[in-house]
Amino acid sequence: MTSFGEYRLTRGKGALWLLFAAAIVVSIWRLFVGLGASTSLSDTTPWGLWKAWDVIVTVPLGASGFTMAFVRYMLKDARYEQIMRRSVIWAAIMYVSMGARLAFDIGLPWRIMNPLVFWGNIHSALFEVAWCVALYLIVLLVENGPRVTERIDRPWAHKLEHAIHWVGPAFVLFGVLLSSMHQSSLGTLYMIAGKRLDALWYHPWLNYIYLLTAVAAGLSVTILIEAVSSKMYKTPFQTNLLAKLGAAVGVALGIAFVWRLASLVIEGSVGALFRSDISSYLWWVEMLIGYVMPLTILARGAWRNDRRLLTWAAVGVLYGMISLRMNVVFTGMNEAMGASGYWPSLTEWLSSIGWTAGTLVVFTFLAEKLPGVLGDRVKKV
Amino acid sequence: MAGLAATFGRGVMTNHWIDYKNSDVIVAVGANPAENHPMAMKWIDRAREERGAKLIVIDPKFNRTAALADIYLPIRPGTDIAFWGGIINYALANEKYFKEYVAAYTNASFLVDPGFKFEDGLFSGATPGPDGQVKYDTKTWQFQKDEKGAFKLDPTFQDPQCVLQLMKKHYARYTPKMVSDTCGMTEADFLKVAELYCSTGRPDKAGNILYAMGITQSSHGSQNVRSIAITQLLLGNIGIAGGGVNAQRGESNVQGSTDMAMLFGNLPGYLPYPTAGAHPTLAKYNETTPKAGFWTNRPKFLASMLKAWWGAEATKANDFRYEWLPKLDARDHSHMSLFESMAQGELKGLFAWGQNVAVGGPNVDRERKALGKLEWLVAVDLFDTETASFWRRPGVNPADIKTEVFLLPAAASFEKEGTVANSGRWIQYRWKAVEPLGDAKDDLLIADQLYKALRDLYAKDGGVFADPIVKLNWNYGDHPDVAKVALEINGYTSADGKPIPMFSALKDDGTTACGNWIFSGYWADMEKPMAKSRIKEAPGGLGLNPQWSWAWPANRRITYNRPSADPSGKPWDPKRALVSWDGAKWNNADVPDFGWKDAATGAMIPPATSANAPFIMNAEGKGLLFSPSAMKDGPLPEHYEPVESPTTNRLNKRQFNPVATISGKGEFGQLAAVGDTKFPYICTTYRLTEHWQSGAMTRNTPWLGELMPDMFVEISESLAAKIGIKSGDQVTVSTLRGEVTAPAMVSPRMKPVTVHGVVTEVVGMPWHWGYRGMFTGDSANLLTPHVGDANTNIPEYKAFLCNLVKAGATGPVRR
Amino acid sequence: MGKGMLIDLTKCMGCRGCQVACKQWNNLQAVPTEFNAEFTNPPVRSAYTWTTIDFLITEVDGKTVSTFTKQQCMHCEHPACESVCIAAAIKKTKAGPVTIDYDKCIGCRYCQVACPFGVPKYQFDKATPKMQKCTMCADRIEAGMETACAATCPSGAIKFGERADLLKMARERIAKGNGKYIDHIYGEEEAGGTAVLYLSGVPLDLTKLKQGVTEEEVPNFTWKAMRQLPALLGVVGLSSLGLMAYSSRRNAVAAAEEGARSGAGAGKHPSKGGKHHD
Repeated sequence: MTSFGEYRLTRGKGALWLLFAAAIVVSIWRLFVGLGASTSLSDTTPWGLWKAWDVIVTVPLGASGFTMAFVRYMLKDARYEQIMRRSVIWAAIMYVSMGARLAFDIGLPWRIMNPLVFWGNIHSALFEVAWCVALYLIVLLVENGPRVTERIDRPWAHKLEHAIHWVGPAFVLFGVLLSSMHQSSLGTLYMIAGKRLDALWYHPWLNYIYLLTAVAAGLSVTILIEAVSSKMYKTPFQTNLLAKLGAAVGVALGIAFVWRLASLVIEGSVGALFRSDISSYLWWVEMLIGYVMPLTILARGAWRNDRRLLTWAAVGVLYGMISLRMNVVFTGMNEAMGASGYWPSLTEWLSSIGWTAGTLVVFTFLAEKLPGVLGDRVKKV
Repeated sequence: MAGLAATFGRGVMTNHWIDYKNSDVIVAVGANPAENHPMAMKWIDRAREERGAKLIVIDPKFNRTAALADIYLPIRPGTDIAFWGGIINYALANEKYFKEYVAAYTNASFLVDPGFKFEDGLFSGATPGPDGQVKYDTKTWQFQKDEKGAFKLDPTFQDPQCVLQLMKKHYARYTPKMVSDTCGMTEADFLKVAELYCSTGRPDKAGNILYAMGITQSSHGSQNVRSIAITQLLLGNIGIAGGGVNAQRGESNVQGSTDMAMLFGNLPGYLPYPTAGAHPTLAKYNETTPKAGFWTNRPKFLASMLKAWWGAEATKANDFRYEWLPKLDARDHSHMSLFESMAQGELKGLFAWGQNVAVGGPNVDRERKALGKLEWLVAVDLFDTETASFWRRPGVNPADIKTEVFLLPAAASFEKEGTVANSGRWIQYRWKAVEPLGDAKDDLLIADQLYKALRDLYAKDGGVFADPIVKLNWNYGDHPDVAKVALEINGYTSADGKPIPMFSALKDDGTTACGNWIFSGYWADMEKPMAKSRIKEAPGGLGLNPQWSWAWPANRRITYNRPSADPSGKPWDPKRALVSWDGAKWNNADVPDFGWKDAATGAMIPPATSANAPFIMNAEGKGLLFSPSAMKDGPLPEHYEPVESPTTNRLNKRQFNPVATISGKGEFGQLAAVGDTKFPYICTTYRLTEHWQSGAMTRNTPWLGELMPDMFVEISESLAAKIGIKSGDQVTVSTLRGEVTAPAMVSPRMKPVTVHGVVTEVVGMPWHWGYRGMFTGDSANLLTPHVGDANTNIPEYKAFLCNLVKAGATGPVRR
Repeated sequence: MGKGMLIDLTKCMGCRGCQVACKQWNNLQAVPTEFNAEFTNPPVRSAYTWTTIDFLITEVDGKTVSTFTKQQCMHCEHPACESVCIAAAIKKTKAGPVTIDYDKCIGCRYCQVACPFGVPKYQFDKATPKMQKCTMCADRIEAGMETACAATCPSGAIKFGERADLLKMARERIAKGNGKYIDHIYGEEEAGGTAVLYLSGVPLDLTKLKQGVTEEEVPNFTWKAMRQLPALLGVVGLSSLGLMAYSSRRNAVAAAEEGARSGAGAGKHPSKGGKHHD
């Protein structure tokens, strides 16, 4: 016997499903017409919105998975079980979605697995990312497996669930390791540019900055999932637990913040902050919204225990994470690539928005279909 | 070329491409080797790298050669005589010329007729014609002779009538100030170039002057060349390795086609073409044979040519059928005259064979119109050219044009075999690489089939003067055999048809036949003709490569090489020894261009004999600083303004060349007045690396078209600022002949010139475009005037007046 | 050491024979262009134009200066593109060229981001695109020939040969040039050394050569991070295990304390998932 939940299709969800469908349609269309006809990509902007948003940003948006698995299993804090479940299933959605989107971005999608299966290049950060992501998908499968097996009342499902629970901690550890690697390696990607990258975003250890901000962003995503889930599904917003996560966010973000500023000073690039051009303004906004604002909130126990402020801090952290990655891909490489005026095409917008919408509605679908995700909300309502 | 023949005896590049590596100072004037003769740059670079040679570029625009030059000197288009006159004056006044050389090998000591004068811009002997232009009687330009008929000389050079003194007087007016004001350059720059270039006026230095169409396409083009030739004689740069006047031909086989009588006034091998009035018989023609120099052999060359043409029909008894040779009337039949006649309906038909006049001709819209007066036009070309499609050019209703047009597809150079003669006179065989596409045929086959069809028609139906055609000695096989044609050109003995070794074997008794005497020797071995020889070998390190193809005349690589050694036969510079007398015999690196060995006995001829007459093609035996007969417009070059000029002539009272061909006939005659304010800018045309001539081939080649897709107009930043445009904006350039609209190229490559104190803008434009093919645009020749050089009638493409206005739009203009 | 090319900009006259020879040998289509007042055409290199002569026309101290810079793949000795290629499709061959294996390339375009000279170009116009760039005529080299551009260059500005020999030749030219050259062999150090070397007679800012290129081996930029991955794994792994052990113990202690305080109630934990692992 199986006992999946009911999915309630609302008008809002319907709109998101439509966007998702549209994204899949244009993605398939892109296969037939090529990248030039469907995107604004060019030799001076070889990596556009799809690489930046759908891969480089989407992966840390899925960092909620390994961070919360870490909290739950490495720190062995069972209070976070429900929170972890939502974060981990969200991560799985992000990673699967990212993989699909990446396939449409590369020139020859049917070859996406070739480097992993047939040949590869260990010097390539991208190769490393690809391997880790592929393996981490297995980890996510394992971590989310119980949400499905627990709904299936069959001996094999019980056995499988038991097996998963038994190997779980090892997989979690494996997932943490894989994530540390690929979240940092996403930063390594642009280290190949060296100082061709604008001084504002150049960092000699961009990989660790990416890892730190991924950790911060992952926990922030968790906070936001809780905020949304408590609104939508009336799950408990466990402020005390989330405030602890907020403190961890503050630590990771704080290290990244100080390190970034220190690096600017060491590299002698402080002057770049006062260039009064668009890129320097973008840097200031990134710093104020993405670092100063959240750090200010998270530094104080009272503030981070304020549900509203904590949520705002999480939003700020995400902004900072996204801003850093977008600025590295676009603003910071603009001059070096000789790019002028890249603006994503309609297809790119539609695809990125649609796939992102897809992650949201697939989450609602899974959350509603797999009651274990939402846990004991009904009792609380 | 006329200017070279009038100075040295032959109208050819004196040296050859590889020889550039031996130069110490190289001047590219009116030539742009980097763009139009790129291979030349290899050897120029060799000279610079290995000898520290200097490259001077003199050109109205800062072209791609200038980009590599040591000195770039801007010059106002059409003022080359003023510039070189200034150099000659500088050399004479500062005694920078090579005195021993000048004394021994030029006519500097010759005494000129006491009646010789130069006044008010005219030399003595001028008779004005109805249009104000003059004709010269050259009687007073001749040299004085003693009672025995020998030239009178003044070895002390003191006699005011001696050539050197006359030159000093003539060129004294060409002061640095006058030159710089006329040519639009600073005095300092002029003096810098003068000093550097005149540093070659010594035995151990070689100066090399390269020129091309920037010199010849002028109403005084031949005298431009003469100025350069005189400069080189004065500096002792003729006949030596690394020196010379190096005329760089505009096409791969211009030299060859000129050798083969492309010019209407020539028979093959530069035999003058007989006219009906003056030369009705062979005897009359032969009466004009020069009395001294190598041309005394001319009757042998003509007899052998006639023998080649009519074979057994031609005998000594019937004057080798001289009467079958069509004669000229006394009229000019060069390009411009031809089109003027065509416009008047005097021509029925035209073969435009590998020629795209509808892009290349001056005042081209009128020439296009003139084509419409023809009954028929046959275009033989690789592509549908503007000429072949003149009847459907923009703005014309094809129904209004009655001309019947045929386009015969021709094979490209790599689709056929045969020889080409390059600028350095090398006749090189080219093998076929691929078969022609489609119906295309090689030119020889087209000519062969055309001839045979005509012959059969004449044989069947008869006609006026049929014999010369029906009885022509034409037997090269069903599919004509290049080797058989080559044998005929080389010459053979009538009895056995065996090739003759050299033109010295030619006779005027009918025992030899020869299509073109100067080529004798290139096909002397039917199995292994020298034209196919490819042995890379450079004895003495001078790059002579005597076994790489064959250079006319007589496989001589550097012409007039006797002056490379002093009168005693000792080379001026042992490192450049071409010929050298060791006291008993001549040691030759190159084929001597003088009598060095008695042909009959094999005995060596000591140097004294040749020292007296080192320029064997000239009757005087000398290099002609003062050229008494050959030039129609004066024995010494004199500066005249281009026919259309922004300024009055300050050097004399004639505005432009008084002998230049000025087309006054009907619709070809539009000319702007001096300093016409409606046309305030100087305009000049040029070529680009990426395209070739009228673009018929290159504008149909995508890989070349993508490099230079569109016509453009090049102007200075100051002119652009004045009319308020920037690069890429369209401008309309107009003259009295027509207008051209194209995007502007605004850059520091083009700068205004200051002419007698007045800043004058210069507008440049390439002339490769037309309305057919893959890449189209306006033809620059819509603007050019129908005026030409006094001696050659080469049109004055390089200097005329125009106006230029903003056209309002931006981007390319395609037609 | 492998082959390379020495491009002597003092000899280049901008005839662009190399551009045409490249297209001819590699069978690259002509691209639609229009008049460019700077003459450079096609104005940018692309998948269909692997080499261009980049013109520069300017004035220095009132004198017109015009230079021609041949541009193509530099064939780095330590190519960034090779190091980042996810599919190991890009290889620096022993012979010298850096080549792309079209059968392996998946089209991730990371090489375009990575190349310090902006060389690789993609066929964005195709549904099944290829990454394209100058191959240093690897096929010709294999057949014992020189590159098409070097073979066609009329002025001898492009010299093909062993990189080591070319470096020596370049040094000799500078030494004997009497100030004709600036004292810099572009490509000797740039990007850690490239197989294509340049000599210039004018300061490099009067050429179109890329300025400010690092002299480090570019692959090291990422390798320095990648090589730390084992250490990172070690730190994260060990600290995770440590924390796990600590947490287990903390939980055990807490449970024991709670058990001591409230007896048997401690075993009832609300979380289902937790009971297997705590």
